[in-house]
This record gives sequence, structure tokens and C-alpha cells, in this order.
Amino acid sequence: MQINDIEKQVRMYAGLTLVLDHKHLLRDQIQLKEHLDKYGNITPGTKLSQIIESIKNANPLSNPRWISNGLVIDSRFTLHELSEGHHLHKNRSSDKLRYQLELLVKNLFEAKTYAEIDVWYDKVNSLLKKSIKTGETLTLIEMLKFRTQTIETLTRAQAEYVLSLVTRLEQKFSSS
Amino acid sequence: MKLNKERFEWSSGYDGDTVDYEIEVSTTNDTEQTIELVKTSCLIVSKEGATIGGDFNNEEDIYMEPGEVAKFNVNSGYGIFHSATNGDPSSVEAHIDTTFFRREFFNLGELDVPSEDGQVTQLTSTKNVAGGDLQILGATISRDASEDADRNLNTSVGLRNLGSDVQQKIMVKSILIDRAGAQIDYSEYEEVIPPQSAAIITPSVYTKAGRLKGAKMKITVTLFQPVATSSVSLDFPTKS
Repeated sequence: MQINDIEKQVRMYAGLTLVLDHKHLLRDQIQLKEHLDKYGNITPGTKLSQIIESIKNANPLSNPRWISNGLVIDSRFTLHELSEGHHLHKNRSSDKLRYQLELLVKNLFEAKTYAEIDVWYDKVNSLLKKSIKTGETLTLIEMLKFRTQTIETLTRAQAEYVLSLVTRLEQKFSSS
Repeated sequence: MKLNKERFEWSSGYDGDTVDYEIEVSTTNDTEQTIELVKTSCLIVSKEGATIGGDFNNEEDIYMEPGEVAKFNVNSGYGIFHSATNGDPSSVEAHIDTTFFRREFFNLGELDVPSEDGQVTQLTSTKNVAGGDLQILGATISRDASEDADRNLNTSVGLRNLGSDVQQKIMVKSILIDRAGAQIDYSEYEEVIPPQSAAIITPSVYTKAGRLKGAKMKITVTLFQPVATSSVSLDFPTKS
């Protein structure tokens, strides 16, 4: 398969660019046989690293890498994983608030003082302000209420304090 | 920006004689900037104090508006000899260094694609960006001759780093647009530019000659500027 055709096929899964040194030296076909289906297309289970290896076999000096928006993409991803956006950070997804709140819940496991819990509250409060749908915000607060009840590293008094803060959030956002 | 451990685990390598480590950390963006890239390096050090593995200059996609939190992977290399850990993979330490970057985007402009093989079109304006540290000296699009119907169009953009710091990542993207405004192809290329030096970045696109009539090339430049650094040492990895 020619270099340009490899790039075209990968782009059917994700908007990547193949960057090569000495591209003009790669005029021969790249041998990808074991990664092709019966129609001659690269299979979705193929990893970028396997394509890179085949290109290097054709020219060891080519230094192939796949980039997207300036970032060198981890070559362990398969084409299928790329099509599902595994190479993109979760904060770029529409579910980023839930993702970040889950991370913040984990931070509470490390909290030892009331001051640290207050810092946690400020972060959660500021994050929830970014939610534009009241229904979504309340669902997220419900999740917080559930998850923060199981944190064993907090003292009983601290756990009650956390619950009071989450309840305060609930009242604040349900009335807004 | 404090780094918090999310995961520090070890597992046996595929051949049984080696150990692999998996690391994830999280942080809160306490800068005023939106962060869109993190570069990580990691050294795995035995309890005796010898480096036994690691990885460096790895890039991870990340997106954090001010105040937001995010988790990301830290590559630590693979295939560390079990014997290098003195038979106890949980005894090592990981020393992690990270640099967070914001993204700055510039539209250099649109150029007509050369109408004939062997011809060029040029953008002659000079632009100073990054607080005057980086100078972009126009751009040229050249159209390669070919024996068949396929044509390569090469975009050359010259950049000078006039500052005293490395420009750690500069990306030039060229987007080929047909006469009706539809995108035909695109390409990008990225470089590091040391201080007081220059680079030519040359993304190239490829299409059928018939689609080039009236086509234009849009050229953009993206800089990644460091906004914060942070380090952490992790110990006592658990078995995954």
C-alpha cells in the first residue's frame, strides 16, 4: 500500500496526519499484508505501532509518527480505539463534568482537615456552575451525595460536614 | 499545580522476567490559562537509588479550563528487569516531571494554489507572535510536477525563534480547500525550535490535479506555550 493510501485509510477512523522524515524515499509499497482484510483495507484492530513498524521496514530512516492537532498520538491505540476518541482527553467530551466530579470525589479520600474539605467544596461548586441544565446539575449532586457517603478515611464528623456541604449545593442549584 | 496519585501499579511483563509500571496522576488547573497539552517524563528508581527504567518527552492530550481537574497517563517505559528491583517491584520510586501547555492559534491566511506544475504562490507578510519571540516569515506553496494525475502541494513556513527560551512545540497546518469551499485534504507538521534559531515547517497535501482549479490553501500556526510545571515522587506501587 502506498503511504498516501495508508494515511487516507487511517483518516477514516480519526483525523490524524502521518509525519515522515525523507518522505520522498518512500516510493515503494508498504507491506501491510497481515493487517489487511480481504478487501485490502487496514483492519480496525490494527495498532498505529504496527503501521509504523511496516513503514520503518520500508525505510528505517523515516521516523514515522502520527499526529493530531500538533500532538504525537500514542501508537498503542488501535484504529477502532481512535474512532471512539480514546486518544482525546475526557475533558473534551460532553460528559466532562461527571468525569471531573468523580476525580474530585477521589480527592476527598486524601482530605485530612476541614480546610481541605472547604477547598474541595469550592472546586465542586465552581465546576457545577459550568453545568447549564438544572436537571443535569441535580443528577450530578445526587451522584456526589451517594459517592461521598462511602469515604472511610473521613471521620464521622467530617463525613457529616461533607454531607451538609453537598446538601447546601443541592439547595443552591435546585433554587437557581 | 499539585500532582495527585491516581494509580501506580506494577504487573509482570510478557516474558515473565520483566516488570511494567502503569501510572496515572491528576491535577487541578490553578493557572489563568486553558491547558491543552502535558509533557511528562518519569524515572523509575530502585530503593538503592539507581535508575532502572523510565520514559521521557511523552505527550498526552489534556483539556483543563481554569479551575478544572483532569487525570492523565505518565508513560514509564516497559520491560524493566525484575532483578533490577531486587525481586520486589513494589520497592521502587517513580520521579515524575510534567510541563503543562496552553495553545495559541494563528490564522496565517489563504493562498491561491499554483495553477501549473512547478509554480509557486507566496504569502509575503511577516508576523511576530509569542510576545515578539517568534517571527513567522511568510509562506510558500509549491506544486510538484507528476507523471500521473496526482499532485503534491508543499507548504513551507519559515519561523525564527528570537527569544531566549526553546519554543517547545510549533505546529503548522495546511488545509486544501476546493473552489466551492469544501475541504479536500489537510496536513500538519510540528517542530521544536531552540532559542536564536529557525525552522522550516513543510506540511504537504495530495490530491488529483483536476480538483486544484480555483483551489486555495489555508495555513494556520499553533504554538504550545508552557504555563506551569509540576513534579511528584510516588512510591509503593501495588500489584495490578
